[in-house]
Amino acid sequence: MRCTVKKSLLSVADTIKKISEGRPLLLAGDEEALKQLPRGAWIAGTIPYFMTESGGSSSRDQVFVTELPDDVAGATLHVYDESSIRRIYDDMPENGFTVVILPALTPIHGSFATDAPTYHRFATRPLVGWISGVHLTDLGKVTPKVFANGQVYTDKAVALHVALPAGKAAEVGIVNIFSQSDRDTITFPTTSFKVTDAYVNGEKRNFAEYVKAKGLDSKLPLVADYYGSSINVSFQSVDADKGEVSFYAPVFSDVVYKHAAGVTDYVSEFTTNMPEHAQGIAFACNCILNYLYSDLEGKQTGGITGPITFGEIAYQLLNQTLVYVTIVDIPSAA
Amino acid sequence: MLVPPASNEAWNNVVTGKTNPKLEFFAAKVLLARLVLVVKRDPAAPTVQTCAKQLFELFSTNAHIPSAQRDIAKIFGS
Repeated sequence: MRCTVKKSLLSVADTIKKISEGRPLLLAGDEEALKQLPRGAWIAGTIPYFMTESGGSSSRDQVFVTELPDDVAGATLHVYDESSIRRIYDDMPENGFTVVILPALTPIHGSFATDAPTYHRFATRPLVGWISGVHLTDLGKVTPKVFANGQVYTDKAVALHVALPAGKAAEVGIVNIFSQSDRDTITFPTTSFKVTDAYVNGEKRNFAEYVKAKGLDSKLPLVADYYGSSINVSFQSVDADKGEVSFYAPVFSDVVYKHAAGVTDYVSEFTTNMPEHAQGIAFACNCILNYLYSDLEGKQTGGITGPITFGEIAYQLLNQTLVYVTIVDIPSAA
Repeated sequence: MLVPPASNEAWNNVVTGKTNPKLEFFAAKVLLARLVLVVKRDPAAPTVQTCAKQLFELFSTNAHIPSAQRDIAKIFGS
């Protein structure tokens, strides 16, 4: 048997009612909607895009509400700054999971993206989460924000540490419709969101010139193979005049990347790769680039619902990926 | 599930790339991708042992997860 988690797009008034019930909540919504919510056991990030049961949608006046199951053993809110986020894995419950939300385009976003793999106890416990954003028409005008217990932050991360009872466990999964092509092998000399040089099949090249010369489709990410799982880094911009390429997550030095193979039918690929037992998913999020490039507005993605985000976290920052955490029953050792 | 100790050579073999088990547990894939790079940059014995210990700690912490259990069986050839 699996835990049942309620996830729905609610009005501000209905969200306030949920908060008043006292149950820990994970919220996502436009800043103006979230600012109307009272203090309580909730964390949130700003974003007006959602995967709903009827498909991808956008709303500035509704809030996506994820209620934790009845049988969680406890949940605690935590606010991290750029220094303390390094110990997030130490703060996680022995048995449970953590959802963390960071504001996009901030120092804490950048440091988490670059340094999370070096954190103490990295990946030892289930960490998922997302990068908050803004409506695309507000880019450059409004800053992404996160909330905890009614307080708003522009430079901190918020986390909900969720403890599970004995007999239950959380497991993190991803759905990535991209895989490596059989084209050139690309490595980078430094770990960075922005690069000039790369090694293409071992030969040093200006990467922006390479991208232009090859005519690479920047809607397709670079993909690394992490022992059978494809991990993406998405292009943000290619500036051939400056010779710079920017990404939505850092490329890591010495990791081997290849440009992604083309995808013919995005929605079909998502549906085919969705996990079984979507009802056991405690939390999920999907990338805004998938929403945009795959034209997911009004299209269902295999019954999984949640915010559409400026970056996804499954232990570390990912791009163009659907992330989920599932609560499963664990047979007793006896 | 009983997890062999960090001193077991099989952990070293995984982080040095001598063995390359086909893993299922997503956390192990993400951690191992980093550990193998660390060892590649510095293959000295202390670094190998530190990385082997991190991999052991991941599996000992998650030994109740079915996919982790299957990976442990693959790493130790059982």
